[in-house]
Amino acid sequence: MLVLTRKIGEGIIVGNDVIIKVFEIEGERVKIGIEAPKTTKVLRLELYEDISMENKKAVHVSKNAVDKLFELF
Amino acid sequence: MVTTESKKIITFVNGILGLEQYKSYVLLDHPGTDIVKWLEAVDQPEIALPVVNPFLFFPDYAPKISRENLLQINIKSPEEAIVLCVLTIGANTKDITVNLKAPIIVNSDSRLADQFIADNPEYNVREPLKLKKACSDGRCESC
Repeated sequence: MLVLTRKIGEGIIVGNDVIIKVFEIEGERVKIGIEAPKTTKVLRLELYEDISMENKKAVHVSKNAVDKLFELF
Repeated sequence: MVTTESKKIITFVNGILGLEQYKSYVLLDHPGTDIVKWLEAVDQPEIALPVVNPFLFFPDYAPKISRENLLQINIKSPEEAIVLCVLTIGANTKDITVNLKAPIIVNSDSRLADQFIADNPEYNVREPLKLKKACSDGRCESC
């Protein structure tokens, strides 16, 4: 992973059209601005990881488990 | 039981989150029910996710997804969209949840699709699903 040191007001460009800027640093929190095309997915990493994990869990659901759902009612 | 429509290949523009390497899927019926379907990766039957039509359980479901995102799969009006939510069943069969936060939207005509993040803070990745709700619609014969 590339690690860069930036000051408030400085930024990084990723690819041709994604700009990331540091806006504010307050204790342990950093406020970041992201400028990207509207079709570029910009997500908090923990949300991405949460949804990925849920999708992978769904892949492990067996056909049997779904059959059982209907037996319950 | 495989319907003619379900044989049509669905192509994901970006991919299902965490499964981005798989782009082509088919939508298959689960035998004996029209409530649960399976999104199965083409040539990779071990990659299959159970999905439901969220409106059967949450009639007011209205995920907010930007126009620009929907245009990526050529959707210009809601009628063109098939909305599916991923179903997860825990080890205890009673732990059934549905992902309302990240619906899969399929263009019913072009079969282009993607998983989007709904801009609704009230929607959860793991929303408990009460099957009885669907049953009260008379959609489940065993009730």
